[in-house]
Amino acid sequence: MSTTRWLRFAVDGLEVMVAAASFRRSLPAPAPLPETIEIGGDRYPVVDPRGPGGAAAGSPMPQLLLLFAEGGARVAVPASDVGGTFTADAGDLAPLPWPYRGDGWYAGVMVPARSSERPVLALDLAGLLRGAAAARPLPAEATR
Amino acid sequence: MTLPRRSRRPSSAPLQTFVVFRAAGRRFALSTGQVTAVAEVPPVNRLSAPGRPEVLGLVAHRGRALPLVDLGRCLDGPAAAAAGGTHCIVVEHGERRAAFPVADLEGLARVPGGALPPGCETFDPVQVVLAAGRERTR
Repeated sequence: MSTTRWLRFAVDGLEVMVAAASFRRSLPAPAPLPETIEIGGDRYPVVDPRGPGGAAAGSPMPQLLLLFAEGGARVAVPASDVGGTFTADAGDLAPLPWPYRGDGWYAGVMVPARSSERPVLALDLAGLLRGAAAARPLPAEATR
Repeated sequence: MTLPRRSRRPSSAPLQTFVVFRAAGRRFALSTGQVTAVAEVPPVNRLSAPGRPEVLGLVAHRGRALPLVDLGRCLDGPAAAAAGGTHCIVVEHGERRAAFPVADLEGLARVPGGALPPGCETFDPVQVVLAAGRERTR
């Protein structure tokens, strides 16, 4: 089984991880968060991983935008804290439990051996983009 | 000689053990057969679930990720999450598991079968905590 290096970060109490190989760079998060950001001629849609359930009202503004590219998918993800990298087998990801099934934003969850640590969600970059596109209003609806 | 018939005393009924706790401003008892585990509330990864405000996030328990559910919201009462409790109760039905935090874990109570500990309500955790997701499986 192949070992993957993961980048772990948090946004407002939500801890997520992405394969570190897809990480491109970080930059200060503009306020308010734009829908897309252009860096080096590439457009990165900005997708908040809290989006499927919605960010809680009054949530602090994320400090960073992390840029990722994987295959043809590019996405900028806000982060409030970057926890560094660690290695783990992608096969160790467990499916999300029942209330979350069907979201498609997450590839799975890494469950720590000890209950004193948080489970960490593996973001699915392509799923994030699909979900964000589906959640946004069509241009005609947006101008009504 | 005929011996007088002794009436059956309530205390001769088999005893049932309950976990007694407070949540959402109420006092509850669940039979130990309905409880998988009692644990300290683990650190929560605050992933909300679309359309399910009662889901507070994910916690790790015995090598599994479980949803942490607000019992108060499940019972249409006040949110219990802010009560500051240190313990949670884990319930399961088949492959479905969840944990819910409690404000105050009082301990175990043993009462005759068919009775509840005094001053306690009870509920079916399968229907209240674990069943709601079935209606909105996507």
